[in-house]
Amino acid sequence: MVYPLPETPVSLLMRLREEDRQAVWQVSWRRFLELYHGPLTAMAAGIYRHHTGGALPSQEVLEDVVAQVVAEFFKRNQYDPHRGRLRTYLRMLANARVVDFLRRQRPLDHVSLENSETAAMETVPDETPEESRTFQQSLLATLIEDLRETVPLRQFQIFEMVKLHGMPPGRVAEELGASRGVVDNTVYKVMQRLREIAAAPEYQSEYYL
Amino acid sequence: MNDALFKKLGEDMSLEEEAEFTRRLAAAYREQEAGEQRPEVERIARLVRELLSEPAQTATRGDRGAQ
Repeated sequence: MVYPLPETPVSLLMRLREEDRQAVWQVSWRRFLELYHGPLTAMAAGIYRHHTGGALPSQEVLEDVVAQVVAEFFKRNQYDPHRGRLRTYLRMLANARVVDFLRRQRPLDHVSLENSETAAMETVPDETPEESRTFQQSLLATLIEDLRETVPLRQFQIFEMVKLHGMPPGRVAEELGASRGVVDNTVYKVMQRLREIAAAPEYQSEYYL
Repeated sequence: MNDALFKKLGEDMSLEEEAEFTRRLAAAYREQEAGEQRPEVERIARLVRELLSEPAQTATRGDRGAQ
């Protein structure tokens, strides 16, 4: 089966909320992985510790779980934003995969989990502070992706140099052969656009615990 | 990150608040750029590619190691 990979990154959160869920298939799983591997790893580690009474999973186990969650997310294509937040859905997938792994490793300890999928969904542990921190960081990175898609390249470049790389506006103006006024005005306008995007319900609902 | 700070993006924001938000945004940007280069991302991507090309989820290294 072919999983299309677009040339440019797209806003996952916005696409997921489109009525036509087939749009999910147009999202690059690779870009999704790059953006969300941090929180997914923290998620898997926290869930593993929860179910094992504090044991630390190996890096190999974490990578396996994250890979399975990403693959399942794109294969299932069942995420419905009207029924819950993305982070909650991902945690349910991660929890099911961790429980499956533990059942395979220690089946006698988990005999009560007759149906791993159902049981796992019912016992999803609370979000850890690390998971929350990394998820919020990924949302900010997604926000930047969205911004990049919605403003002209030159404007994004100026914003990136000043706000994301911390270069003095005067030096940016020199390097780009622009006036200081143009740089300041561009940074202001792009920042306004960023705030508009961040104020969208899609971001606001995902951001909070 | 301060939840209230994010919410205020859609409202009026003081210069200090905007500076704090920008600082966190830049940190997330740097972290993202660094994260994309990490070898584990490439390893996970290989696993995902395998899983997406197979009808059932049988491509984990844990499964192969246990066999």
